[in-house]
Amino acid sequence: MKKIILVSVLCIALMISTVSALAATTPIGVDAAKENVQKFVHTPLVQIQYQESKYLDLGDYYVFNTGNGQAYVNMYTGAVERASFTDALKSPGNLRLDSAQAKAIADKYAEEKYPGFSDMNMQLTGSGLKNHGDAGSEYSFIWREKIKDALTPNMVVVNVNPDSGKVISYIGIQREITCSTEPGISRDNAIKIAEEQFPGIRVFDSSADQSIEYTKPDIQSLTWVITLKGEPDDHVLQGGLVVVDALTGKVVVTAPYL
Amino acid sequence: MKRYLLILITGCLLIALSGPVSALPSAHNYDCSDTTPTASDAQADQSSMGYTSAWTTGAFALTAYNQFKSDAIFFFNGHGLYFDDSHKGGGIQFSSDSWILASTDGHYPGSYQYYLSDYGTDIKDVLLAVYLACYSSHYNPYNGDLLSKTVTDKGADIAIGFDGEIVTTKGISWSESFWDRVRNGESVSSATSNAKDDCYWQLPIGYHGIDTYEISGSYNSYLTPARYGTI
Repeated sequence: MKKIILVSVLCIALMISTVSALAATTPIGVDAAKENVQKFVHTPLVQIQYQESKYLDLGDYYVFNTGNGQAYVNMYTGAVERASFTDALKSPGNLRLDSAQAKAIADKYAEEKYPGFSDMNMQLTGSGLKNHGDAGSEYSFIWREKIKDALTPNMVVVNVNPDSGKVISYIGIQREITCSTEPGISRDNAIKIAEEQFPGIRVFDSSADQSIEYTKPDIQSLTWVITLKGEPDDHVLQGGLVVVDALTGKVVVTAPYL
Repeated sequence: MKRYLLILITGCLLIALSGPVSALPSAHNYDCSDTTPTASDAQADQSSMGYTSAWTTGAFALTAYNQFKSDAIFFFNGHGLYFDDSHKGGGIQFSSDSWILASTDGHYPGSYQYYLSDYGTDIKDVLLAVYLACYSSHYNPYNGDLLSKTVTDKGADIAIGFDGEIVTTKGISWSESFWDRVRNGESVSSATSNAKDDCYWQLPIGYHGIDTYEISGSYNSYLTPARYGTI
């Protein structure tokens, strides 16, 4: 009798784990994703049209035209991880939010759209008014989760039109962190490695941030993201951006300034 | 009588052959640094929109300066001008240290200089100029402002530039996305903004200067159907 119970329990456990594994590796399908978009943007279902599938290092997406912008749905979790709103680009010019008012709108939006926003260690890593010339301007608020000294890919971006208070675009990524958060390479060594990518550079400004990045599809790596500004040569700014693997010291990206 | 008929038929044939070619608005795309293949990618998108489009890597500034006069679309991806933090912008660098500059107050960067201020009405029918370079929308007391010179002073419909520092990889990413989006029917404003967000979540995470874009002129316009700008 005990043997039968034990076998039954094992079978049930096996079934549960198989179903869970399938859920994680099976796309939710376009129709289910479309319903999630509808709940997110509150647009009639008939206006939401599937556009294409996109496969990025940090995730695979169904992309939809919402009639007023786009929405990106994670193929496996079903979460709407990005949305843009074309009508919000227009500036009626009858309202001018200050920074605090715009941030209050962004805060509220982030809490509404990003599960667990208030419970995570989200740091405001960027904020400010961006001037886009005749195309108006936008307040941009960027939060990233911080674990120890590393910024993770868990992030929220909310861009707000200062003239209407409408949200222009949203990005919200939520991933389990699967890589080490302890760098094997120090900040100084990482900067030295970065400087070697620009021989002869005379650096007058630099920054270095620990960041967990998707360096390949589904592969997280702890990196140092370094920017170096060097004295000009032939009237061109020298230096650029270097991404260094924080465990091995290997250079992942070298991108000079234009 | 036969002679008149022959002349008439020849004339019709010439119009039929030359008409469609000369009617297509032209576009030129320039990669000038480690920015390939953005010019060829842009050319492919513009061709599918109906423009007679060409691309070049490492062009000399005078070539681009002269071709600009016949362009509906001008796209440059390369280095911007930087003297120091108080004097940056107003110029884009081509091969052999040759430059296209908005204007000059007596400062002459590089070996060869060509000025937008010297155009008369030559670029009045340009639909869109894109200057994908560091500080390309920034006003430089020495060499002026590329966007206002292109649109406000010289009459082009739209110009896009960047106020901050841009790195090659984010520039490539923005360009690929922008041209793809306008080809798919987005307005210039929408494509510029969405292409900016396309850059954010690519390695490494962040805008890294792409969010400093500025648009001058008719930002809500579309690039289809293919056409020249308003005169």
